[in-house]
Amino acid sequence: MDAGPAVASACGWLDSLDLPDERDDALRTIGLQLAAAQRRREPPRLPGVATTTLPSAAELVTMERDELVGSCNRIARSQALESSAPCDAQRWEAVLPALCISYARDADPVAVASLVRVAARLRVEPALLDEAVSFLLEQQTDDGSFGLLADSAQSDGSRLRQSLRITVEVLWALAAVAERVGRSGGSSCPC
Amino acid sequence: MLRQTFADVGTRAAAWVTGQLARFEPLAGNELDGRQLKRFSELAFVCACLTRPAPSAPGSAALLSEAARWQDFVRDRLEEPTYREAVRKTPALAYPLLFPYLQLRATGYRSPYHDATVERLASCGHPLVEELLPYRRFERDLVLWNAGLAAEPAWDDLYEATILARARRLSFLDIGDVYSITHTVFYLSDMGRRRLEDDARTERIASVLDSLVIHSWRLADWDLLCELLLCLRLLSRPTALGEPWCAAAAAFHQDGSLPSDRWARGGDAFAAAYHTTLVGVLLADSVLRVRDAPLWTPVRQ
Repeated sequence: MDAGPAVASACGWLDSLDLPDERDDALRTIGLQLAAAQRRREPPRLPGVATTTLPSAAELVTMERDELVGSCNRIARSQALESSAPCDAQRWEAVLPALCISYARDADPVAVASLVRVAARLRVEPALLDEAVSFLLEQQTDDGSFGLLADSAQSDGSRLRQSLRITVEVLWALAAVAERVGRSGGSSCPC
Repeated sequence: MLRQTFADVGTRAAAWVTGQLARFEPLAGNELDGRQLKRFSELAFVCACLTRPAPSAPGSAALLSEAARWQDFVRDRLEEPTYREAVRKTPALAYPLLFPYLQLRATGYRSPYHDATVERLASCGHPLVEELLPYRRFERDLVLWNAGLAAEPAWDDLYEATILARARRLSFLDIGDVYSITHTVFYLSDMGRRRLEDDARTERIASVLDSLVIHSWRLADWDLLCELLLCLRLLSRPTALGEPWCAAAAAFHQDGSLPSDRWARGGDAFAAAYHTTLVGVLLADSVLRVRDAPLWTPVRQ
C-alpha cells in the first residue's frame, strides 16, 4: 500500500500552517520530520524512553482507551521492552490487527495510529496491518490534514489543534510501518 | 479446568431458564405480542439445538434434562387453541408463528394441526415466503429442511449472498452486520451438524470470527462474544487467545443468568439476560460436546 501521496499531501498542509503557539509549531516540525522518515523508510526519531514494561495482549485489549493510547506511545518510543508474560509474536499478530479494527469501528484514528506503531515496534507482519493503514489513510481531508472533524462543534482554533495532533499521530504510524516494511527479517518479538 | 467451569455455568444457566419459563409465554393473554413470540421462538431454537441428534458426543445430561422441560413447555403452548388458530388467522405472520413448531418438528415432534396449516399455506402459494435478508433466507431454508418440509438448502448460494461472504473490510461492520455473521455461521454449519468442506472458506471465516472476538471482548459485549465463541466451536476452530473464554465464563452471574446490557429494557432483569443466557447455554453445550477440539491455540513458550 503506497502511503506516499497521502504523506506528501499532509506535508503540504503542515507547511501551509501559520502557528503562533510554540507548542503547535513544534508539533508541526515533528510532523514534517516523521513525513521525511516515512519517505526514507527510516526509524521515526522521537524523544525516547529507556525501558517500558510491555503489557500482556489481554491487558492491552481490556485497557481503557486513554490508558491504551498512553501505553502504546511509551512502547513505540522505548529503547527496550520488559515483559512479565511469555512473549509470543503469534499472539501479538492475532491481537493487534484485530484491536486496530476494533478501534477503527469506533472511528478513533488516534487509537488506531497508536496501535499500528506498537504493531510495527513488535514486528507484526505489515500485511496484517493493511486494513488499519487503509482506515488511517481514509481519515485524510482534501487539504491534506488527517481527521474527519467536519461535524465537530469546536472552535476553529481547537479544531486546527486537533487536526494537527491527529495528522502527526497518523504520520508517526505511517513512518513506523514504512520502516518495518523496509527492514528485512521475519517477525520475532523484540523483548 | 475451563471445560468444568463451562459445565458448571451452563448447568446454572439452564436451571435459570427453567425457573423463568413463565416469562417465555408466546401470547400476552390471548393477544399476539412480537416480543414475547421472539422469546418463545428463541427458546424453541435452543431446545432443538440441544436435543437434535448430532455427530459429536451427546450433550451433558444436566443440559438435556433442562431442555426436556423446555420442550414440554413449548409443545404445550403450541397446542393451545389460541396459538394454533393464530397461525391460520394471520397468514402474514405464518413463518414467525410456525418457527417454534418447525424447530420441534426437527426433533421428531409432529402436530397434525400445524402440519395441516403448513400444507394449506403451501397449497395457496404461500410457502412461508417473505422478503428476507440473505441470512434470514438461509435460516428459513434450513429450518424447513430440518423440519422435513423442503429440499436441502443450496448452501453455497445462500452463503454467497451474506455479509460474511462479501465483507472485505471488518472495520466497516456495524453490530447488525456482526449478528448477521454469527447467524450465517449457525446456519452454514447447521449448528455444528454439518462440516464445511471448503477448508479455505472455513479458514477465512475463522479469521473473521477471531478478529470480531477481540472487539466484543474489549467492549464486554457478552452476547456477541458468546455468539462468536460459539461459532468458532461449531467450526471446531480454536481462538487465538484463551482469555476471551475466561472472560465469558466469568461473566455468568451466580444465579446462572448472563446479562448483556444491550438487551436491558426499563430495568427488567429478565429482558436484559434471557437472550444472552440462552446463548450461554449453547456455548456451554458446544464446549462439552466437542471434546477433541481445543478451545484456543496454546501460547508457544
